[in-house]
Parts: sequence; structure tokens; C-alpha cells
Amino acid sequence: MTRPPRIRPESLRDHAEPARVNRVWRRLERRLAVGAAAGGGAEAHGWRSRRLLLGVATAAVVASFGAGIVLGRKIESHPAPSAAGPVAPLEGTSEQRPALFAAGTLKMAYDLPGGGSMKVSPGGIVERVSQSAGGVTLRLVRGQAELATDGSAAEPTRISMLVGGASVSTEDGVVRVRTDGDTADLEVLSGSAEIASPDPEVGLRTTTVREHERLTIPTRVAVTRVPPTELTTPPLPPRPLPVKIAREPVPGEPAPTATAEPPATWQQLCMADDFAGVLKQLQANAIDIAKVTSARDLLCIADATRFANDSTPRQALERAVNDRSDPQVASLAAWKLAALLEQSGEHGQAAKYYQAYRDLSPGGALAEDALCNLIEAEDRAGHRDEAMRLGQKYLADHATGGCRARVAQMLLRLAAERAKDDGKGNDGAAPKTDGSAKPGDAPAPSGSASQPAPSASASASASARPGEPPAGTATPPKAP
Amino acid sequence: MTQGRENSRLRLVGGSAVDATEVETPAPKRPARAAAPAPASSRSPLAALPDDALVAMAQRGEMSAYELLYRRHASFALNLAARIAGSSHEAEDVTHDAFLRAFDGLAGLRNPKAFRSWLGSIVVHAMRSRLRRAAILRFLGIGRADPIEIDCIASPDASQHTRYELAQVYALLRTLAPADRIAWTLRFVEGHDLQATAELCGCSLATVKRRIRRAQNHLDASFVEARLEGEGPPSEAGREGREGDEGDET
Repeated sequence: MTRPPRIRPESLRDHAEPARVNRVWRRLERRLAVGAAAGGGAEAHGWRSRRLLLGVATAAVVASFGAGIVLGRKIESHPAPSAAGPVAPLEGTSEQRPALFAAGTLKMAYDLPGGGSMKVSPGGIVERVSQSAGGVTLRLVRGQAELATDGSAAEPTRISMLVGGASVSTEDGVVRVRTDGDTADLEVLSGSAEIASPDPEVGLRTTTVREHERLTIPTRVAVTRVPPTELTTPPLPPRPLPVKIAREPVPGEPAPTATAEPPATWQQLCMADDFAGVLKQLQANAIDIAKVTSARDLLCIADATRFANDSTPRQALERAVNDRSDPQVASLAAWKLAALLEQSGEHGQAAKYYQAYRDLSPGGALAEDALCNLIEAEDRAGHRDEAMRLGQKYLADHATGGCRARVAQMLLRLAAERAKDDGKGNDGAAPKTDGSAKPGDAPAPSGSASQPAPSASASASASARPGEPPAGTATPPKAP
Repeated sequence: MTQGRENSRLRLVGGSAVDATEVETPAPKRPARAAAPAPASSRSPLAALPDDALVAMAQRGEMSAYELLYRRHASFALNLAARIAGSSHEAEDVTHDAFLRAFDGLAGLRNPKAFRSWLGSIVVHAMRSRLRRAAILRFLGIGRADPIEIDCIASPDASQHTRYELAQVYALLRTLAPADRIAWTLRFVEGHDLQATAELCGCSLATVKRRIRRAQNHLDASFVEARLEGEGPPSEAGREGREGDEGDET
């Protein structure tokens, strides 16, 4: 459960543009002038006739409303074939007015511009990237969405969905797309879809997926980190200090006073993105980490670590984790620290802090992500048994978890590796081919252990169904 | 007139309590057609007059008073309508109708100092009717949800993160009953205090607290902190919450 953030007045658009204000006034002025022309003496009579008119109008509205419902139902049950072609582009307005499709707790259905429809699952966010006569391009920001083309249209329109660096396109089908940030799970419910996913070797790998097929693809590839000395980006200009103003002033009332407290020097440096300066302050012990309770400040310290090869900020984050007086701050610091350690290749340490995050915030918004990352960190650290134990626990506890497919694949691979190792350990005898690994010992690949383990790049091909548990449990996953 | 009775309790939104002395005012006269629409800008000497004086002038049919009242409160009404709706499509129509209704009903305004609050309650009432109508249409399968036009809600200067958070909040608000949604929006988006929110909603303080709490529980249970691509930890904004507001909801 997460409390929505405070909505700041400066984050909201001001709708009172002068042109709009003038436009409404012109309409009002005309109506006022017409009212004046009607005359004050006739006002009483005007009210009576207005009431009569209102009654007649209400009756007409109710009648037409009922007729509309009947007609609408009739049309809906007998849809006429659409003779209209694809909708024309939005006269260049799509860029100025990007639409955002979102769902709160209920699944929302949207008609897509140009034809077709989309259902956004609860918590999902999709934005419109572009639109042309040939179709519409959307981006799945998070969650799950189901795209459906308009089968009755005279000309097929293409619906494309970007998920990170990958894309899914269909002209004649229904596709369900779900993302957890690093990967996308795709399922073609009908028709077919073309998939393009980033691949470190060939750049972009394209695949066609047919009806009832499922696929898990990576949505991004690893990016090499640039050492701080090679950074060429000029420093950003200092941002103005945030000033909270409660609301717009009412005429005749004293103006609201700013309530912002003057930030400390290092906080000003944070706001100016001067991480080198923050680092100097840390080294000079000008920052009392025990008193840092703001998440923004903690993130600034973390950024200082990212932009400078110095262990001081990392120590500061460690202190924030270990000083557990405020679990929220400590868990945030643990998460950040784990991510930093993972980036720098210290997977064992990263696993430790992901576990710390889970301990500090077991029901937190990122608890499931932390477990996923913990499993992967354990795997990368070479702790195979621990990774397998946690992976099996994850699959058992998270029936609809976002990274089931990744974990299932990892378990397959680890099981194959273990079977291989066991085979080598057996005096050089051939690996076991009867899948007779001990039941609670480790999962084994389905079929036989001699089957090659899925490679790291296998994630771009059709994978095991994300909902299935790994081999070694009741129902083994299908081999890719 | 029910509206008229309620008006006597209204005060300036978020401001100090106004004098509750009821002022008997003559029936308003429509402005004469011959009265040329004087450009009532801030340089006009009338601009310094308080609302009650302008209302009295408008009741005598002076077009410049109408225009000054409009220009003084147009921003408030437009933003109120747009933020309740979560889009700007209907804001102009609602503002136009609300001012027209307010000018028509100036005779029933017993406390001219409370013009702003009164106008706000008219806007809120109009928006509630529209939201209910839209909900009924969707229930009957006739209406279709529109995408959230985030540019209609968020400032162009707002960060991408804030934009997604706002989009999610508005998506969640859409799944609420109109009355709960309006009460929460007035309290936490528009920033009115509880008393003013109750008055704008036309209900008691206890009712508005209940509505806000119901909406807040729903948002708390459903809101997921935005974590965009490349972002690791949850946002600071999400951690901030609104601890300071909890006390006044109880």
C-alpha cells in the first residue's frame, strides 16, 4: 500500500489562458446582452415560459435517450461493415497532445485512434507515441495491455506497441503484452504479431509469433558505464529552490507566504547536480548522515556515488541502512545500495542489501522486485543452491509474479548446470539421462538432463510459459 | 430557493470567515443593450472594489461590474472545472454556464461577499451532474472511457515522473463515485480546507470527511509508485505522503 504523493499546485496546468478567458467572456457577453434585450418587464413571463420549455425539453431528452439506447443496442447487435478507411492523421496535433491511457483498479477499454481497441489492466499505463494513416504507435509504460485490431475495417491498420527497446506490431490479431521493466511477456490470442527485440549481437532480432504462442523478450540491453572522467556533459545550471505555495491568492487577502526552509549547502549542491561538490562535503564530514531523513537527499548521495569513484557516499548509504531508526529511509538506502553494487559487479554484496530491503520492507512496493533481483544477484554471485531455493520459493509464492518467466528459465539453466556437474563428479561417467535427480535436491530440465540448457540469448525465443513452475516440481516447464 | 439558503453559510474559499450579515438586495436588472462593454481591465478604478460592491453594481445592471466579476473569478472557475473533470474539454462550457447561472441568480445571493464560494458551488454542482451522467452512460454501455490527456492535467514544467503519478491518480479517481472524487479533488488537488470543501460540495463537514476518507483509502490501496524505465528506487514524493493531513480527516 502506497500513499499517493502530495499534488503540488505548480505541477498542475493553469487552464485560465487569456485566450480562453476572453472566449468565454465573449459568449457570456452575448448571452447577457440577449437577456437585456428580452427586457426586465417580461422577465416574470420569461421565467414561466422558460420553465415550460425546460419541461418540454426534459421530456424530449428522456424520450430520445430511451430511443437512443434501443437504437444503440440494435446497431451493436447487427454491426454494419465499415466502409470508412483508416482515420486521417490528427493534423499534426498528436505530438502536441500526447494521450495517456491508464487504468486504476478497474480494467479500462479504449477505442484507439485509427481503429482497433485496447484494454488496459489495472495499474497499467500506456501512452500514444505517434499516429498516422497507417496505424498508431503506443508505448507500454508499465503493467499489461491487450491490443485488438479492427477486423471489420476495409483496410487493416497496424497497431504497434513499444516496450522499452522492443516493439510488438499486429495488423490482424489480438495481442496481450505485459512488462516488468526488463522483459516483456507477449501472448498472441488470435492472428499473428511481429516482434522486434534488442539483441546485443545482431542489434534487433525480429520474430513472428502465431496464434496461441507466448514469448518473453528482453526490452533492453546492458549499457556500458562511462567513467566519470570521460563525461562530457556540461554541468546543469542550478535549479531554483522549491517554494511551496498553498494555493492561488484570493483578492483582498494577504498573499501566502513561502514556507521553504533554507537548504544546507550540500543540499543546494544536490539541487544543482553538483555531485563532485556533494562528495567534497561528505569527505569533509560536513554531512551528518544520521540526520539525513529525506529520500531525495539519500538519492543525491547515491548519485554522488554513481558519478564519482569514491567509497565515501557508499559508506554513507551503508550507515543509513544499518541505522534502522527510520525503516523507510533504511529500506530505500538498501535498495539503492544494492542496485549500485550490482552495477559495479559486486553481486554477493548486492544480494545482501536486496535481502536487507526485504527485511526492512517486507510488504513494500518493491518487495517482489527485490526478491527477483536477489535471486538474480545470488545466481550471478555463483550461489547456485541459494538462487535455486529462492527461485522455487518465488514461483511458489507469486502465482502471477512479474518475473516468473525469468526465474523459471534461470532454474532450468541452473538445474542443467547442476546435472552436468553431477555427471562430471561421477568419475567421469556420462551425465545422468534419466532425470533422476533427487526430488527435493534440485530441479531438472524436463525430458532428459542431456538436453542442452537454454542459453542466455534464449530469452529472445519462445520460452517456457511464465506461469509454470520449474522442473523438479509437480509440472515441469516446457523446454524452449 | 435551496441554493439561496445554502449561500448564507458560504464563505470565501480557504479564506477567513466573512460577515454573515445578510444583505437584502434589489432584484437584478439585466444590463442594457446600449451599455457598451467597457473593457474592465485591472487599470479600471472599479477593479479595486470588493466582490460585494461589484455584486451590488451588477444587480443594478452595470455590464462593467459583470465583466470585472467574471475576470476576477474566471481563473478559479476554469481550473476548478478542469481539475474535477481531469480534462479541459468541458471546462469552458461549465464555466460559461456557471457564470450565467450566477449572474441570473444574483438576486438570491444574500451574502454578496461570498460570491466566489457561491460560484464554486455552482461549478461543483454542474461537474457532479456531468460526471454522474457520464457514469450512467458507461454503465449502459453507451459511453466509452477517454484516454487521460496528461497535458490537460499536468503543467508543461512538471517532470515526467510527476506526470505519470498524476495520470495514475486521475485514473484511480475515475473509478470512484463522483461525490467522493469531487471531495478528494477539492481537498487535495485544489487545496481547500475541510470547511470550504464541505461548503463547495453542499454537504456537512462529517459527510465530506467521510467522502474524502473513502477516496483516500481507495487511492492508498491502489496507488503504485511510478517507477519509470531506468529508475531504481521509489520516488521521494511517494514517501512524503500527506502525513500532515491525516489529522484533519478524523
